[in-house]
Amino acid sequence: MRSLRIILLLAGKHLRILSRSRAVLAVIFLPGIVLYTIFTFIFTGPAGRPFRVAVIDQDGTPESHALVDALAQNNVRVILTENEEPDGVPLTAESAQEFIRARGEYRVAIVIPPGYSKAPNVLSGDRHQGVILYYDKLEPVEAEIVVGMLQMAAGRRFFETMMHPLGGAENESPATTQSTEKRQLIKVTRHDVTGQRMKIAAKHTFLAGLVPMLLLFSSAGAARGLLEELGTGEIRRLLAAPIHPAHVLLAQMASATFLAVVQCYVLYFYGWLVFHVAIWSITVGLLALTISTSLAVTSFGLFLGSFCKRPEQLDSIGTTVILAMSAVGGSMVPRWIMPEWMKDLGLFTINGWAYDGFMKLIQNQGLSGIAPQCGTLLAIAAVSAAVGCALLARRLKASPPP
Amino acid sequence: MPVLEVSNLRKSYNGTRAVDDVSFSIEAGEVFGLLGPNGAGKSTTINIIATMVAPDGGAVAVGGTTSSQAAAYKRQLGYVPQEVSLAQRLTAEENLRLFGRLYDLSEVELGSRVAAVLEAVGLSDRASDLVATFSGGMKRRLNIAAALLHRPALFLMDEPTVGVDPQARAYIFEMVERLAAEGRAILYTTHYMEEAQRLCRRIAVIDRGRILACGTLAELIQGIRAKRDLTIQGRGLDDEVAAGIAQRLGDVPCTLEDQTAHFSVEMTGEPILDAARAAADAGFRPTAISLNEPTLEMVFLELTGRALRD
Repeated sequence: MRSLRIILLLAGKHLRILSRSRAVLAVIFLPGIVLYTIFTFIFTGPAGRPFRVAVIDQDGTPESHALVDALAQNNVRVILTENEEPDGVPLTAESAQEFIRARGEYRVAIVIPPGYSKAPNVLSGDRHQGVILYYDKLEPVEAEIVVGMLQMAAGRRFFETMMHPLGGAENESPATTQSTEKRQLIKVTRHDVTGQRMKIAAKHTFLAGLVPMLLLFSSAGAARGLLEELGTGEIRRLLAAPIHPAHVLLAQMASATFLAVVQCYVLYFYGWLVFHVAIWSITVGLLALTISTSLAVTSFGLFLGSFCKRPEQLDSIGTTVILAMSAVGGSMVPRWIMPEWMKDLGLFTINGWAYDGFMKLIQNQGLSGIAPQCGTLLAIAAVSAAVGCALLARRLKASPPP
Repeated sequence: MPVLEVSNLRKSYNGTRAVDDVSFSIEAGEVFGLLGPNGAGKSTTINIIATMVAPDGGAVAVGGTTSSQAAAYKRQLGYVPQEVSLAQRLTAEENLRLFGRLYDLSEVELGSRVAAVLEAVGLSDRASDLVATFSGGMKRRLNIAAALLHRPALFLMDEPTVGVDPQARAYIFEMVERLAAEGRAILYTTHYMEEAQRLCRRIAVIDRGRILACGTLAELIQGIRAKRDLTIQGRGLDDEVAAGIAQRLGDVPCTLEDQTAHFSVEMTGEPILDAARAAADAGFRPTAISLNEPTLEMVFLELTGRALRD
């Protein structure tokens, strides 16, 4: 009980000191808001943004291949993937839907069903089945672009064979509400695969990525404060009182973790207010992920600080490590557009796990869905804190006073 | 029973002996001086006693407790470090309340003790000001105040007057004397002779981690009874001239500062006449030559072969 009181007392001291420095508070909270706003606006909307379309050719005939070729010629900004992913993983209609729904590699998937070649356009009458289009209802513009491309591709195929009057219609699955009166050459049956799920959008991607990066920088700042207090003898003086070094270090972690949680929620609230990020439907999971991430970054900061003898060393080493982790872990570039090996590499960073956890929450996977992410982050926190505390305690005892 | 008992303390950093077999004890109401130049081992000794540095060997007991009984041991210590190690962005009162709570003072007691120590160090009117706005002397006084709160039996004061103005220094001297009068034991490290001479009942001269001599000022001087402080002053008195005179006087220890040289000479023959002749031989015309009673500085010079400020 006394230990807890001492830790809270010392943590309160840190927070009180912090609250008196407007410059430090501004550095903690403002960059996140500014960066989040800029990135989200840059990447909001489809204009000028390339996206990937999965094409699953289940027909596998020269006619279907020709449609795929025609699609490829239509728009150089679209990356077509025929039958399988570039790394050789077979792509099915189901997995493509999952990609759209959960991971965001593809925004739209086109399935050319078996038998397509027997009736490739609406001129074939009732035998024409058309193609199936899976899309995210909340990204309708991208689906429209692909439908347009399909018509252009079908038209190209049509003119390659013969000239016939245009006719046809577009079907809508029950999951969609839109319909169109436009007459088209190839029937497109649309399926919204995301339903009422929230979309994976820039506002989510950058919130997921920026939060761990900003927390890491704040934790490096807290570790810097610790090194400065070691340098001025403040910590040594505290240790002359009847307290244990662990009290000092845990208090430092407690205040830094508290600050990190506040920092997270400032950004969440900003995301909710400005970009309508639906944080209220994921409150429990978000709190669990926030605490796990905050503990992990705080401990990692302590761990970094334990290696550095001077604050200046921490500045250079910490900045390099944090920027590298952020680049690989999805804080600068969304993880879903990274190659697979880079995504795997991202799992060696706090950013990667925090990013994945947030994206899972946004996809309504709930607390159980983010258990691996929270568990890993807590494990990182435990290991970093244990090593950091041991190294700092040893330094306190072994090194000469300042 | 002594309040502090230090036995055969040893500590090395990277193979260099910082504290080498140091032993001493301090009684209640005694100011004990640890006198030595920078790097002599004073701070390391005090930091070991304050449990902030682990010794390689030896033992320390405070009021019969050892550092293995951490809480009871630490409650008897009032540590005043060399640096002003207080939170600059807290007020004087907030800093003191923090330290009081670390020593488990009750909230009621805390209020009265904070007020009392602020009064004692003359900072009552600045209680609500941030420490960052204080002068160097005020910070030093607050630094001491933080160690007074829990009424320790032993004060460890590590060069508490470094960098303070004469007024603040006098204030600190009065505080030390007041604490000793209250029966507190004080371990006071300094490299200022006059401080040790004024404040300390006993002085240990320490250099390169070893205690070279320990006793009252009279006892220390007694140890060099046959020596006197021969002082020569004059314009143009430099190291070369002083060294030449020292050689002529029989290779005696010498210090030089502000064109004033001190020589530790034997009370045999005619030292003033010898010095005048030696100066003339060196081509130097002194403005004054005097022979004085031994000082603590001479003691140090005798024991270490060098001046305290070297």
